[in-house]
Amino acid sequence: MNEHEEGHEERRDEGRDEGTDTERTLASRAGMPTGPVDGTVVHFLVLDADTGAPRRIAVEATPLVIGRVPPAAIVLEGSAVSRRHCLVDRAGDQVRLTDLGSTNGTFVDGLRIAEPTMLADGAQLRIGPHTLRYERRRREEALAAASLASDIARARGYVNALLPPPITDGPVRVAWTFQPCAALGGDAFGYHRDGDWFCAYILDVSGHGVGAAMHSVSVMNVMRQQALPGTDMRDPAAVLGALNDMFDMDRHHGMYFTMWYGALHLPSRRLAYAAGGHHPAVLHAPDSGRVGKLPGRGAGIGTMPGFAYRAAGVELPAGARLHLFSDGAVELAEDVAEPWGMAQVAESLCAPGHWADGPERLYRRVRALSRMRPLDDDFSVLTVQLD
Amino acid sequence: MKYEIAPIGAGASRVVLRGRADAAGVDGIEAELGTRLRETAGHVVVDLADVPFMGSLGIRMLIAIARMAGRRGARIAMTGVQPQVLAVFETMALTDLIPHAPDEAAALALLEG
Repeated sequence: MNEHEEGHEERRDEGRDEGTDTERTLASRAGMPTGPVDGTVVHFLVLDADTGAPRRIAVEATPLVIGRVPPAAIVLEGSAVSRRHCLVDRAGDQVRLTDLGSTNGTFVDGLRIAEPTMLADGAQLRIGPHTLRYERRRREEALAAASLASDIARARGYVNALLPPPITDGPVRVAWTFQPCAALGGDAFGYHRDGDWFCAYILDVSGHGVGAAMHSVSVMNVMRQQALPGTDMRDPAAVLGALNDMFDMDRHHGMYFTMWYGALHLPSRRLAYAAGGHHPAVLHAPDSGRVGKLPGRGAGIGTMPGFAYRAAGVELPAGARLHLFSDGAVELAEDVAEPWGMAQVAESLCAPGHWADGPERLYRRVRALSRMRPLDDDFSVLTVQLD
Repeated sequence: MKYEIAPIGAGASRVVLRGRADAAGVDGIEAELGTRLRETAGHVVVDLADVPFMGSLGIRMLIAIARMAGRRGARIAMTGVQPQVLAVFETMALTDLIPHAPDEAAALALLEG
């Protein structure tokens, strides 16, 4: 099974969740302690996931050992984590953290603890490379948070289910990586073949959360069904113009999106493209080593009624690769280890290697630069490989 | 992110924004700034000299200010936009909607012209 097939396996799993889980079971998965809604305080350790929703672990009467291997209740990977690293338990209405003689120490808000330490709400626990956050909440607040986490999980599953499968054979092949952030960032992409034409797009909705994801799903459904009235899907400027009319931000809760759209005529290898506020695509010709950008100046979709988008064109050389990506690949946190921007993204995507490895290679690079912290925005990268 | 509003003469207001216009920054001021601008008459000049980053929500806030001004027959312009932010605005053709001027006097001339 290759990496893309694995991705589909994951999507099918999420699809099953969609059909069978009730909100109650999802809330339970989110780590919600059982019990009546009576204003009592509940305690959590929150472990941010690489992608997707954070893992929320309830701290109840039973002490929890954190360590590298079972039977630790919370297993954290990494050689810097001891087998039995530390212990979390309740002390009345408070939560206490005790180091169990770990090799590399247990830290609370940056300070190594030498004795059992009571945790304040919001305390940051560092154990090896992992950071956990302690939260104390009234049970009602915790239930509301669990319900929101459930909604986000459902929205994530729906976006995943609408993404097209990678294409591994034929004159146009496609590989991609989509890593939604915890809050959902509103990324989406798609492509389709229509006779001699191959069309592809990527979009990024302003803002985060379920609302942004719902907006991206609305656009994806329109694009999947090619439901733009009187619009030739082979005409990028017309497609962006029609979407701009259809998704005016005043009628969509103030949300807009950016988009890059391309239509490739396969016999002539002629690509027409246009952009609405989106990063340029990167064109790479591995045979000659040439790398270029395909920018387009255009209003964010929904921001300016009647905006006249303009398409540009280019003839693609044999073996050309086209890379589309979202903000999450380019805009990293301020404190990343080295300067990062379009040039570095292009360099990573165009590095020597198998064509289908580019998106994953860039994701690994971005994660490393971000010190393996969860990303603040969706990460979407699409690579199109021509014969 | 922080903001200040002050009148410029009789027919316009100056909005000074400071800080990164990312999700957290915009979330902290958007509602209050909108409320205050709804009570403000005339054109608006937005000073962005101290805004080093403009994310999608920051852009959305500027467009909302422009639309709000447009509904009462006024317009907005920007001054002091840093080069990296201006590049984002150009990609989005935002300067078609909200013109950029080198200074406040030029912005007012643009709006009143």
